[in-house]
Amino acid sequence: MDLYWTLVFLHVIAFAYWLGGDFGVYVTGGYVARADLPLAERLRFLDALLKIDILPRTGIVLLPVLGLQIAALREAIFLPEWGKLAVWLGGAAWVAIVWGVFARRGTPLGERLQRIDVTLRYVVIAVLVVVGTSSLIDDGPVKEKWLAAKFLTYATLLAIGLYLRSVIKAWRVGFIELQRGPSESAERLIALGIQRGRRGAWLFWAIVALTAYLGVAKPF
Amino acid sequence: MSYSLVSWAHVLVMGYWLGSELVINALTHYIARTTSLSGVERMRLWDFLLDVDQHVRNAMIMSVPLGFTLASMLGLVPIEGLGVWALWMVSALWFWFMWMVHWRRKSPNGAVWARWDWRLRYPLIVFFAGSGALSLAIGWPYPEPWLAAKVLLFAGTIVCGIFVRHCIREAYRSALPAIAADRATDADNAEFRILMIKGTWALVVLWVLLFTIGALGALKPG
Repeated sequence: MDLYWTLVFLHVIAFAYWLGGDFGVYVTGGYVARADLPLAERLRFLDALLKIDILPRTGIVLLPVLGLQIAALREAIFLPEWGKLAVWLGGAAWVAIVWGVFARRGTPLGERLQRIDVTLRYVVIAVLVVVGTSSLIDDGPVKEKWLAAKFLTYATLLAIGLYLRSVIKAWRVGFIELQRGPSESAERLIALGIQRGRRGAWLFWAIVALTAYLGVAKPF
Repeated sequence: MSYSLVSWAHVLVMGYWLGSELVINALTHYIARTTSLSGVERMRLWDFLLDVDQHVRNAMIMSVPLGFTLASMLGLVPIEGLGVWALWMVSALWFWFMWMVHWRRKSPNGAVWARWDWRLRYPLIVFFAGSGALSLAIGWPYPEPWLAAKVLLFAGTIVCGIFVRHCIREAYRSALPAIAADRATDADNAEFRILMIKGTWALVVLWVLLFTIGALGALKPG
């Protein structure tokens, strides 16, 4: 089987789960925000939302791992054999951290892993911005301009993801307050969080669509 | 309309399809297993699932004109020009019909709409399975075996959809009225759970079919 197209297929599948999973988070989020529903039902939707969210979180890590291998195969970037192996191992470690955060959420270990995950994302954003920008304006390490642009859109998506994560955290704070009893300030916090989350999600999807277009059309 | 734009939309629709299925799978067990919930809550979840299922059906219908338009651009199907426009018009009609079935489902003639929705799928299965199988045998109307296999498997996704509809219909006929009225017995809950498990298996088969369809499109083997 052709390795290049197999990786492209897996890249598309990871993309599908990223996009589709985020859609799932979006639709379940609407129910989390509904103040007219019983608290237990809203918490059930929040639980479902977090379970669905693990797939886009996995997809977002797998995409650059697969994408870098594809880019190396088409010689858009130079990646020696040990570099390819390092990308796979790094990606596997990152996926393990993401799943660790999910499986151990609410525990000290989960919190620690989450801090590592967030730090990692800041580092990846910085690297992608530097490599993408230098390759777009000059002869950077990425030889194809559309791919350099994808580095930048992906960095933007990671940044929006970090923002959305802070929004979800606000929901949690609101729900902890609600569990103590009815609270207008908690409802306001949750409603504001949903509103912000929805705006973030629309921006996120627009940039996801742009990123996909760059990959499919390779316009420049 | 350029090839890359249609190709891009085709990929986006696949993501939309897989993601909607994922939401359904993630929530089904709450309705099926959480028997401690009130009837109102369980029916609210049920309606939510039916709403999300509309997105699955949106994606399924959209993938037909997009896929055939791509194939036409590559000269892989005997449809071009007006034929492609006609396909888009028919797909738009199918799309409208599918939404009418959903919106009218609680009206007095909801069952009639649902019956026609069901009946429409049989000729579609015959068309996709027949043209796919014929092409694999004699190389017409789709000369590429990978495309013929994709069309054949697409018929399989419609079969899965019918099976899911069957589970939904059985639920309405058996346990759902009792669940909605808060008088579900253990036997009702067990029957409902079995129907949901069967429906979930149909979704698993659907996922396998979608992955295979995606792989055939990306790898174009043969």
